[in-house]
Amino acid sequence: MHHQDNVKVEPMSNGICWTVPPELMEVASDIPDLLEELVCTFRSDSSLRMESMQLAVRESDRNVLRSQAHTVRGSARQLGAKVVADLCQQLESSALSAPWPDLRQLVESVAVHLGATHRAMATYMNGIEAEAER
Amino acid sequence: MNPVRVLLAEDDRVYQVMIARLLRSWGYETTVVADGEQAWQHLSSRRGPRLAVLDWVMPHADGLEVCRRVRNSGLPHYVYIIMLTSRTEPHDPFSAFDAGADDYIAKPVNAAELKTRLETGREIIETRDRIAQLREGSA
Repeated sequence: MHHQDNVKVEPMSNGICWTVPPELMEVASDIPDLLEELVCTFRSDSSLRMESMQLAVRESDRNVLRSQAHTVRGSARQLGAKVVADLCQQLESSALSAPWPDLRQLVESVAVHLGATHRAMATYMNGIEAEAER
Repeated sequence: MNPVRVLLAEDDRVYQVMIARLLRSWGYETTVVADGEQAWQHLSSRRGPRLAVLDWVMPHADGLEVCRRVRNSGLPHYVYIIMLTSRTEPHDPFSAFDAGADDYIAKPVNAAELKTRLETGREIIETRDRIAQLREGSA
């Protein structure tokens, strides 16, 4: 399996690897604090699920790996974290059959890009807060 | 008029937060549960919600199983079910309809689409209720 052939892992031109998708921005503009709550929820929930995926690799539990990848894929896609969603999609579809070294590598790729996405989200949200305080 | 009650069954926290807040902002009285067994308990209660948004992949009983239970249980009222999923197999919508879902929405969720489909569901329930009342009146 050569998952890195299929997924482009590049930051945007401004160096940030995440921005709010337009449709989410539209929804969030109508409901106060929704964006903040969603980002906060995603960061905490996906961190826990990431730990669960890493544990599943250590314990060779393919079903848990697939299930957690499925959930992170869905929420990452909704929040516009495309690279994380694409990697999780590969993980979900290969979790029941791929060799463990490949899955281990894929899980570590998810961890790296999820971490980068979390940092980008934090930067973005700090920017909004700073803007609001001006 | 009382607000329409909606059950949201979803185990993903991000979707729980987003959809519940959307539903409340549109005036729906919303109950959120995180697995299929809890969903079934709410939907099968005597005065349970008439509209349900069910995630397909959930712990304990998945969305399809909940749909089948609702349709096979002989509930005295109709429950309009919208199946929600990030699954991507081409036959998935047909499996959902076959299990008894009324509608099907793919993730990521588009808020305007969800709102419109819920309104359709609400209208269908109201129409069914009116027909049932007319039948009772003419019996």
